[in-house]
Amino acid sequence: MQGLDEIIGQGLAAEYGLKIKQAVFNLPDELLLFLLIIFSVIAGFIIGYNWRRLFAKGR
Amino acid sequence: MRFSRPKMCYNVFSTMPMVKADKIIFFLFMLMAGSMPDASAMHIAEGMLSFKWCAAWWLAAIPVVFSGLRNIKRLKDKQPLYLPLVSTVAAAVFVLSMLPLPVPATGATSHPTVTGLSAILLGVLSTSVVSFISLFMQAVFLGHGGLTTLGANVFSMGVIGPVVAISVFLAFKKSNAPVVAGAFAAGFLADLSTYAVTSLQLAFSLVAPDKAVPACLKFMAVFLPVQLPIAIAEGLFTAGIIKYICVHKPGLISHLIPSPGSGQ
Repeated sequence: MQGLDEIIGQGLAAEYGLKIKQAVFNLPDELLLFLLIIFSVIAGFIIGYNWRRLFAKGR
Repeated sequence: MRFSRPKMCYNVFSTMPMVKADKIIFFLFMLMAGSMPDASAMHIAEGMLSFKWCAAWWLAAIPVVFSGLRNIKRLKDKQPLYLPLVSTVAAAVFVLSMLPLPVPATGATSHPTVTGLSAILLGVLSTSVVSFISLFMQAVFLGHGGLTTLGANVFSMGVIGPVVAISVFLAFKKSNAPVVAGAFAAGFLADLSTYAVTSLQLAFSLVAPDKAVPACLKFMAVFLPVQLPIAIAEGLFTAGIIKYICVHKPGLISHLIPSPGSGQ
């Protein structure tokens, strides 16, 4: 499945002759997916750690 | 539960032992990370807005972000739990706003914004900072959005979405409606208003000002069928989290929903 923002972007690029530029670091798809997973795991740790501070501590 | 009586609220998670909740959230994030179908681009991409409009949206977003930084600095000294709350919400906004959720009937994916929840928990100004950091990291490392369009993306997701969310939430509070209804409406409308503003940004940049409104409606018609189910899901998510907080840590939102003994 394609992303909604991507569909809109491609549609507008075709209709208005826009040139969608590459990202700052034009990484290969596999590396992007790897980074996505790494960032998600780090975010999961941050949320889990702070969740304990917010809700579990001092009960 | 009504806004004036937070202790009466029923929570779907209330039977869940507290220690389990953080483990479940961690595993949910692990599951999400493993099930992301691809890394397709999100937000307004680099090159889609003219330079003039990129600069205008940057100029509109930057003062709000700086005010948000000052706001966080001020509140972290006053409230010891404010910084952990900002970190938690920032991590959630970062991950969930790049999570491609498939909408089966439309054959496309889209993402929630989570700025409705953030606006209720942190306020509008701090939400703009959280959105700025999330969108900046996504633009630089993951190819979602872009640096030139960062101002536009921050303005739609980090300023207008939260303003709509908090306005709706406070309107529900004023009418003494259930907290859960206010939270649902805030999450739902924050998501939709973000996409409405995105449509407006694209329309103003791409067509002449006199044709911007029809173009905006056209873009919204494309966004809506995919975004509507995501917005409903985001409303339910926001309502669930706010209910959980009402039951387990009402002090986190005491600025919006006064506790019975607070005398407010």
